[in-house]
Amino acid sequence: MTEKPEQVAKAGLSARKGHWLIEGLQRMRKNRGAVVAGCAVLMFLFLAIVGPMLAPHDPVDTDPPNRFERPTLEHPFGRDHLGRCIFSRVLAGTRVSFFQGFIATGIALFFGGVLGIVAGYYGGVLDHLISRLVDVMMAFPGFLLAVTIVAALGPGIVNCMIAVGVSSIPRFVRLTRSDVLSFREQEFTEAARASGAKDFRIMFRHILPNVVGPLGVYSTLRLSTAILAAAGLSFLGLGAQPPTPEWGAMAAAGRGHLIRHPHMVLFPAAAIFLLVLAFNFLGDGLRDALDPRQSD
Amino acid sequence: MSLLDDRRLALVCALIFAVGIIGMACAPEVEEEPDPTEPEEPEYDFDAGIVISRGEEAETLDIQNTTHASANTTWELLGDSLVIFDEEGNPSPLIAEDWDVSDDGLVYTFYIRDDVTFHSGKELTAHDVEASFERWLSVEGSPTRGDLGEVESLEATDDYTFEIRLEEPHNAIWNVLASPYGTILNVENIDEEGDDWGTARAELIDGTGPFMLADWRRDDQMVLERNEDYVWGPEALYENTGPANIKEITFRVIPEETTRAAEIRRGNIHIDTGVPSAEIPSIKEAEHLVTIMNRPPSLSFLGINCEAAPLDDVKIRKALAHAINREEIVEVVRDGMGDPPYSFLRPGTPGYCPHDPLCFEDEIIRYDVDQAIELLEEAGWTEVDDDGIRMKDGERLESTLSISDTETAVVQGELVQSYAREIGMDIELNTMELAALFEHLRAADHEMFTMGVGYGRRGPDTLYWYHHPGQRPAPNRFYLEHDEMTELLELSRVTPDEEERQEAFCRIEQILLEEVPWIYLTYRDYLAAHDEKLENPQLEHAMYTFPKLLEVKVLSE
Repeated sequence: MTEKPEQVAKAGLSARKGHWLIEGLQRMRKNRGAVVAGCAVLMFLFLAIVGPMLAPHDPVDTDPPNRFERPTLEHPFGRDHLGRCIFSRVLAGTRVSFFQGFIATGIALFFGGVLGIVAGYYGGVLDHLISRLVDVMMAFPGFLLAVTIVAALGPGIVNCMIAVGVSSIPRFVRLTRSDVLSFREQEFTEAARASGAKDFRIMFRHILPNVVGPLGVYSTLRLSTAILAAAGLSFLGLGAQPPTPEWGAMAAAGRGHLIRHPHMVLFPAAAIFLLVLAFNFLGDGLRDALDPRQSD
Repeated sequence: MSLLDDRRLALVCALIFAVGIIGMACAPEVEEEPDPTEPEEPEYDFDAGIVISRGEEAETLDIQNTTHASANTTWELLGDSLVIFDEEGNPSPLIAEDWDVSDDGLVYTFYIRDDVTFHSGKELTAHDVEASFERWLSVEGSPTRGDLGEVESLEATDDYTFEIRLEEPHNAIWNVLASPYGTILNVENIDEEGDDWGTARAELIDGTGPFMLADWRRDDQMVLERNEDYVWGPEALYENTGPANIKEITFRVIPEETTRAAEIRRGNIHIDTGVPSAEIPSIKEAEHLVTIMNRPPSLSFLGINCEAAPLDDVKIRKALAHAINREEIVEVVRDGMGDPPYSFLRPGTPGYCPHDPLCFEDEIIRYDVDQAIELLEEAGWTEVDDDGIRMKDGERLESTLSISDTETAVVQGELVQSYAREIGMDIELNTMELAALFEHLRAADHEMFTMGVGYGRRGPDTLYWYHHPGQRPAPNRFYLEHDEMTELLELSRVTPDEEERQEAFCRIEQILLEEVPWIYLTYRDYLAAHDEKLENPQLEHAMYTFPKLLEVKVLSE
């Protein structure tokens, strides 16, 4: 990429904040994959908002005599083991998956960001404490940590989001901390300090705007992981409880019928696959465009 | 770790997932060709081991403190009871070679065999029998000790004579004396381990049965080895009274139904006593498997805590019972393998109402949504909120259903949930592992639960077991207080008059339909399958258990 890190930092510092964003998005337009992925994400988002209204049938309405029906015009994705319309359930599940992904990433972003800024800015014992805690959490594989947390809190959609969120905190702490470390010693921080600004103001008014870009990009990438992890927990029966239409749980319900009724697994799994893929490409493109420091 | 790796990892995971799904959908079913070179004269391999699958394993092997089917099966093999039922259901000798019952039905005297030894080598005497029974009566919360009746005293009058004195006659005593619950245990080891015995070290589990516990990895596999000294098998049941014809039995725990079926098709497992309904076509097609359909006295039911609001109101319990379509549950959950139940006892089993019309004909609860709604409105649940859930005084009509996390239980729970929604009742499902479910129910903070019971020869006496107030908190998990029923349950245990006993059971069935402490969901049929290289696997009699497995032989390869 063409720009140097200092220039980006300055751009972030300057009053023309919107400018770099627009510039970045213009750069991203050249990346066709990212544009397609962005459109796909927007489409999924649209479905998440209006999907349940578009659903031709009630996603929890059972009709056992017609169970395992193959895809038809009326039920484009067929019916599941209780005769529910899989198309309607996949549509309704979009909202659940988005919701889970956003909340979980939000939890990680908020706590990870705050801890990272505090650790990076103050340094010393506080940094040491937070960093070692993060090291300990990083020692667990992320998903295993999430499973452990759900096991402790009990299954359910809320606990599942908390678990996925908490298990993603360490990565956000690390990212934020390393960025803050580099900004802490820069002139604008010194200037703010010299003019008598309090620590809190320096951290959240002067340093934070500079780490928002990378954090935003990382969050987009992390969203896909969070959605996948939440679906994974539901697949294991630890997340959304029946009859909530959740893609992972739907795939789990279908796995016993995989050979004779593959449509039960195929559609929810494809939905997970597409959404995660779209978020990955989008996050990738966003990073290239907005945060060239991190690209290869 | 760099950002890049993380993103790639997520991508790769997603791809693997997708490819895996597609791959699994396309994979052909693997079936091994049966061996065409079968010898004309069957030759047997007496050093062979067999593998039996299990869907789940008991939380403990302490047979005096569990009623889990897998613990029963294990103790049929590891231990012996005083007596055992013969084909006609009469007690026949096992550890006791003979016995007397006093005319007033209060004193049972057993004459113990003098050639029985425990696996540890210790000789079994009447004192061990006494210690084993004493320990049974002392187990806190034992679900089975009450089945012995009101015991006045237990005494080994000499080395080979054991006496049970009861305070009142007890018709059902043989049910436990002849079951694995009445297994004679070597209690020396139990004292050593305390309450953890049965969950802790395998080497402390000491019985007198035809097989010895060699290795136990909980929730994975259990290995039983032949007891070479075993010669006291029940003559009434088997030609071979020991030692067994097979050297080793391995129980493998495979919760996943698809995997379990695939393993028996591949020949990695030799016996499956409960083929999952969805897998029946593929098991029947497999040429090397022999299948047997059992129609045992076995039932699944939805239990209700009659003290927990809002289900403390009988009208709501009855409304829910009317809302449930049993025919559909049998069809969906069991793929038609079973019958819709309208009484606890399965028609044709001992204790079932012999009258025509049935004594409880008028009380039978059938699928009738209109009547269910009528009952709810009578009970005052007339308002309906935005989600279609009924309300009364600002409170929603909701409850929690605790179920085990097996596929069958979850599907059954989802169905019940959808039936309840039809009448405006919101049911939340609370799924947990089976062992955790038992713990949860014992703690008595449940509202509803589903469970299955195979009551075998215990027959109508199971009703006492489940509904007598003395059996709280387990197995009486219903907490229905009904004086008449309690009296009848007690009467059924002591009366020497068979007719009076039958009438009592008929009236109890009636009361259970009026009070609805439980809702019957399905009578269950089971398909058992075994490898054709096993001869005489005794599965025709296997409801859940395979008594002793002394006769089974394995054809040489």
